[in-house]
Amino acid sequence: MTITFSAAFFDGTSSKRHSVKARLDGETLLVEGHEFGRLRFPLDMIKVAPRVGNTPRFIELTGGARLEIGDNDAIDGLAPGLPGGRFHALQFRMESKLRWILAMLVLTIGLGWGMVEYGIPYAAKQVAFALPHEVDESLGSGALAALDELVFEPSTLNAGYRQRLQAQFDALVAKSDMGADRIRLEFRASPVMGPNALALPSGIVIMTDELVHLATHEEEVMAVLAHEIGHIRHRHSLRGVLQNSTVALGIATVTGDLGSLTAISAALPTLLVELKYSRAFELEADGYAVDLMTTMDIEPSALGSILTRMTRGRNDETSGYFSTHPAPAERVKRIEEGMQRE
Amino acid sequence: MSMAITMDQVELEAEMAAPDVKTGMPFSFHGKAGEYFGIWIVNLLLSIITLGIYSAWAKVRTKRYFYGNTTLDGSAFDYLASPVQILKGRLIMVAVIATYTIISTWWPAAILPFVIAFFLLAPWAIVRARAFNAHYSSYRNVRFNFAGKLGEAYQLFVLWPIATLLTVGGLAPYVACRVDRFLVNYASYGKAPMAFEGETSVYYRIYGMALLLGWPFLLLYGGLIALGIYISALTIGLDTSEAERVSTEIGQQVATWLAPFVHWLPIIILIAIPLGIVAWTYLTVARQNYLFNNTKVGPHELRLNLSLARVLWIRFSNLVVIALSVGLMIPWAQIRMARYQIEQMSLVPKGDLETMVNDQQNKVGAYGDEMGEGMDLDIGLGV
Repeated sequence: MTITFSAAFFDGTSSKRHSVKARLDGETLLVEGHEFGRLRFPLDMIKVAPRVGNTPRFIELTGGARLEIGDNDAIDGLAPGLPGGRFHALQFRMESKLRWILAMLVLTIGLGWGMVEYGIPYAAKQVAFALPHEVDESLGSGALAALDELVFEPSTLNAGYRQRLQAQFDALVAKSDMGADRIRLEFRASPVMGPNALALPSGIVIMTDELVHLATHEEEVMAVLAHEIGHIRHRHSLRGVLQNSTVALGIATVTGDLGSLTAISAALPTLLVELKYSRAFELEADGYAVDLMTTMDIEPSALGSILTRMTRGRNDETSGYFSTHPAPAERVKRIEEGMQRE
Repeated sequence: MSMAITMDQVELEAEMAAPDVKTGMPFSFHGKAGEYFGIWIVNLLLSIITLGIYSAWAKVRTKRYFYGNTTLDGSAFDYLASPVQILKGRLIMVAVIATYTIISTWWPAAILPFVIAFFLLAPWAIVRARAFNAHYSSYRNVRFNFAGKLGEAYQLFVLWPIATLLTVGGLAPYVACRVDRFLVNYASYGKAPMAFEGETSVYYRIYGMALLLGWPFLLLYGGLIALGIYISALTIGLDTSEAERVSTEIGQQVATWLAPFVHWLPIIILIAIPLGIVAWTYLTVARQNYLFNNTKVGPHELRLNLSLARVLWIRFSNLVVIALSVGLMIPWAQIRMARYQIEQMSLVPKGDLETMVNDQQNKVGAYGDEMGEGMDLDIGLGV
């Protein structure tokens, strides 16, 4: 096999360029230039740099000399026989052949989607449940005090009614698979938030007076509380922190070498994924509530009816991708499906 | 009205810093977005599948693509580092981060010494990274070289930044000038030293102009930082719920102060942020233009002629295109930016380009350089 090509020869002592003709003859590379005549390099003494795109190819000769060659195809003829040649040839084929690129693209998108949809939530769940409860609790210590400052006022429900609700809540907790010492109910009023309830990772469930007034019967109140217990039971705060930081890190890594300004474009996809996780947690908490209510002989449809009423007044039925909670209609549908499975 | 005048002055400044390019030998860039896309997607996928191990190979291939497509006088640049060297640096870095995570989880008290140690290592790592990158960059089989003195690096990257903080940024232009001089004057191409005699007064002018544009943003940003420092100073040592109470109180106080301006706030933010971006871009563009136009490689002179408007346009449109394409146009954006930056560069030869002599003694220390590389602390000259 004989391959000939023209090249630029640099001897390694200076930047002087010598135009040469090179010829591969069996096991020897012959380099011929009119300044220095003919040089011979045994093939096993030279190193051909792997091909990257259509950039000039460099061949490292003995004694620090190098050849720079524009004709990549000629060099590809001699490269596969050299050490590492096959790996490098495969690398180049993957990067340059359309069907490889398409396959890689599909795989990357599929992998990215799989990680976001299943991989990261699964891993976060495993990690969260392997960590002690103290980790969850440390996430939200002091949160109640801050909320009291910002949005809450003392509850105005009368003490007897509160005791009734508290007793029902305790019964709910007793039927849940969580210790009573890990969960506690707080009554608050909040004209700002309206009818609402929330769960803090430290195990505090807060319920507004407005929610109690909105409910047509106490089972509806218990339905919402069961949903909040579900958030704590499934450790959604900790999992959320784990998932969101992984996603942010992953997206930043992919787009990271772009400089500070362009990093803004990473913010939107990160936000969309975080909202998606938030909606998934809501559905999981709904499912937990349905199960818990069934064991308590409470009609699970109570959850659907109060949810619909809680969201009716609000006009934030924006596009599903931008909301923290799934659309109420979807939640009701899921709740009914969950009931049929029981 | 006053804004229009400021913008004109900015353009003028950018022009002034760029003498005639036509006398020079242009750098050209031959990269193509379609071709680079293949390299990028393979890099991305294999890096994910191998849990980051391939990223070392990816880095080398990316660098070789951009170097190899940059030519001057018919010869290309070449990046010579091996992926295994880069991998070592990244593994060391992962070990450092893992150690930090473990320490901060179980012995929070040990964080401070760890952070101090990290900052004390940073100047050394910056010098090593720069030496590594220079040593493995070559043109016409002659390597670049960087031999920055460690003592000076400690002054520039530890002492002077502290002084800058103490003077609320007043020393920033002076330090920037010294950093640029340090980075260029200890660099060489083969045996040909690079030289940059930057004048502090020019840096003060550039920074002053950026301040004229960016002060609303700086005020906003500086205000937030000052507030953060104030709150943490007040709450240090308090237990969590007490600390939350104090910070909520301060927050409410600030809200009362700002209440009269509440309708103006969105407008102020909408003006301040774009102005901040323009100011920051102006700062980097003017600094790079000045730096390149006053740098010599041996006897030869460099030229750079970046226009603020072009750079702003490329960055902004890149951002939009990347966001709309869910990131798939990142390779296109990178190629586009590189093409513009490289093709605005030229070299004015004073004498023969063929007589530059390689420095055979040019060696980087055997260890340390990989670590510097892994820390990605390379503060580049922009190209």
